[in-house]
Amino acid sequence: MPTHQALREALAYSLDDLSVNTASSGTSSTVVSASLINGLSIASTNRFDGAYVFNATKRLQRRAQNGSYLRASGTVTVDPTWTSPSANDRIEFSWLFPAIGSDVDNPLLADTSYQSILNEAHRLLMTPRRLALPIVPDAYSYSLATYAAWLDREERFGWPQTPLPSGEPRPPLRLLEPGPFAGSAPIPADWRRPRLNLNADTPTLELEIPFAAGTSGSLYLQTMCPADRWIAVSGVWAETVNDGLLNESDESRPSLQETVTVARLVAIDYLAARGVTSASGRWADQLPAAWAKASAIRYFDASLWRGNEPPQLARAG
Amino acid sequence: MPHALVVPAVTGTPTTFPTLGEQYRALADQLGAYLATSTSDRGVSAGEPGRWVIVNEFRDDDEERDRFLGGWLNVLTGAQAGNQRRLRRSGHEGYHGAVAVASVLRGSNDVPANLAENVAVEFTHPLPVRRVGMTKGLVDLVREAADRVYVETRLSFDGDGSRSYSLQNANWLTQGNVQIDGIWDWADGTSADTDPARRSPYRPEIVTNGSTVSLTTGRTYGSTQSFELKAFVQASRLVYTSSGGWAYSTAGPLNDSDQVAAPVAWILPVAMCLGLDYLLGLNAKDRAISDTERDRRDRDYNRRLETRWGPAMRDLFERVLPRRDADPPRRYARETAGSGRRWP
Repeated sequence: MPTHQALREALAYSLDDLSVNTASSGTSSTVVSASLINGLSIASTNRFDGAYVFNATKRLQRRAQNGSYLRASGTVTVDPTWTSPSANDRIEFSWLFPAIGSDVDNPLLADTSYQSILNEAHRLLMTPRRLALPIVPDAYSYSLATYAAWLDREERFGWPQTPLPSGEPRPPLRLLEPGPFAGSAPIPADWRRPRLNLNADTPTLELEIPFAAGTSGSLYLQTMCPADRWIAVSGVWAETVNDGLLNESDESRPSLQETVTVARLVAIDYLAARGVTSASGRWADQLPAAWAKASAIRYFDASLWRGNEPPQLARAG
Repeated sequence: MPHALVVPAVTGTPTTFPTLGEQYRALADQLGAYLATSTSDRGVSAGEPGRWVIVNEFRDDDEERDRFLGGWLNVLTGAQAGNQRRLRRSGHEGYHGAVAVASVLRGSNDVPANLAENVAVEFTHPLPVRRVGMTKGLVDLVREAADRVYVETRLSFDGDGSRSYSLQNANWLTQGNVQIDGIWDWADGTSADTDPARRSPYRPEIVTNGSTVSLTTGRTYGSTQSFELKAFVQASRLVYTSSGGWAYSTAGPLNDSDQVAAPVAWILPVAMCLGLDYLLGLNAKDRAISDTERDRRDRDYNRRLETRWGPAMRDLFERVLPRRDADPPRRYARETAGSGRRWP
């Protein structure tokens, strides 16, 4: 699965907003990289003015001082000071957004970041997730409080099914239960008439037809979980609370292409709001195409888009 | 006073008549689908107890989950014998040869329990074997058909010097003279020991006086004379049970091994007409199917009624069933054969 770093860099590249370099050395106020050396004397000392400088290895982020670029040595001065870069640290320069959000080590960076954009994109992207609940014989209700933060609407309960051979559509498959033989695949259990009781922060699964006495094993809820709620940290997938992607190696379920497509829509929407202009024209002009691509993704939940209307409709109006 | 019946005047010996089980299985086969089998020797090992029935014949890796929708299970042997269950929607797991029942099977103390291995079971579609809730069973249709099929019988009497004999014990004689067809006796010097009975030229009559029903003979029979009354009895009232032999029964056939004095060929056409007529009614009330499916079923039921089973029943009543010698083709049974339906 794509890592936070891979997603950020792919997104920034898609916006033509990234320069990735390997540090050779540096001080508490500079970073030096051979890939920043420019042999042309016309290279401006203002080449990196105001750029966000992110040491991805040490997760430290600063801004480049105006007029601080020394082309001959490949040096950029950062402000404020930071822990001196080590050789082979991964250094990213970006201009539109900082790489990560603010934290104790990055006091200046309360801006919208690639990290926040990726997490916002993941909130718009659903990922199929099967929740296992131990079967309690004769129980009509199962607590879903663990998932209350996101399992808050019927639309997130059930996976799409392929149509019948006749072409007739089938309703989403919501629940599975153990089959008749040990080790066999779980089988559909929607006949038990499951439903979500969406009671604020204590949602429950209700079964009109509970399991008979003596039943063991687990029942499985097939849900569509926002991708920011199911993250692998150090390779271990788990429910997240609010953070989404945090560490460089954190992984998420949607493919890199899907995440970048939706994140690009989010980023362009921010940029359009700022009113800035890209090299190819106004950012706002790119919104309809970005929207069209994002909304073509199967698990993109357009209902969660924070604008009142899809961009192309707003534009047409 | 009538004695025990002589024998059913139908070809065959008493023990060769079809049992109730054979009658309803023949009906099941024609009305829809029928399978007699046994549970697999591989028992259920997971899932909900009492929910699954494993049958090797149902193994099919390519079948839809609703393959047996509308079917019924009847358990024939084992601790849960006699249990019936409807087969559950989306309940066929073809790879395992498993079908789910709509309500779990239960064992002793009402605890959900799986069927044991190698238990005899049968599956029927679209009706259960016996009534379940408001759904009529195949046995009910057989019994109803047997109510409408009349078979010939003889009641034997010993003369008492009078012309009047009580019929209080023959409470199935409810339709008066139309249900009898003369007296056979050994008058005029013939002997019951050596001679066959001959039809008496004197016409008997059934006399009903309030709750008292009696037979009036055309001649007086002395105390040494015996005679027989030829009558027609509903097949459902003349029943052979393993414990009681042949007898006139009020309850009708109850157990699968009970016999009625009519062959399958007589019961089946009537039961089929009753069954198809009943299914048409069920179909009209079924809210769980689409109008297209309802129309399809209607056409199927009506086609089978009108082109096959209706004419078969008509032929049965007009040409096959026993009737009074003097009568034109009997109609009273035919006219009561349906629930208000005008049969072809």
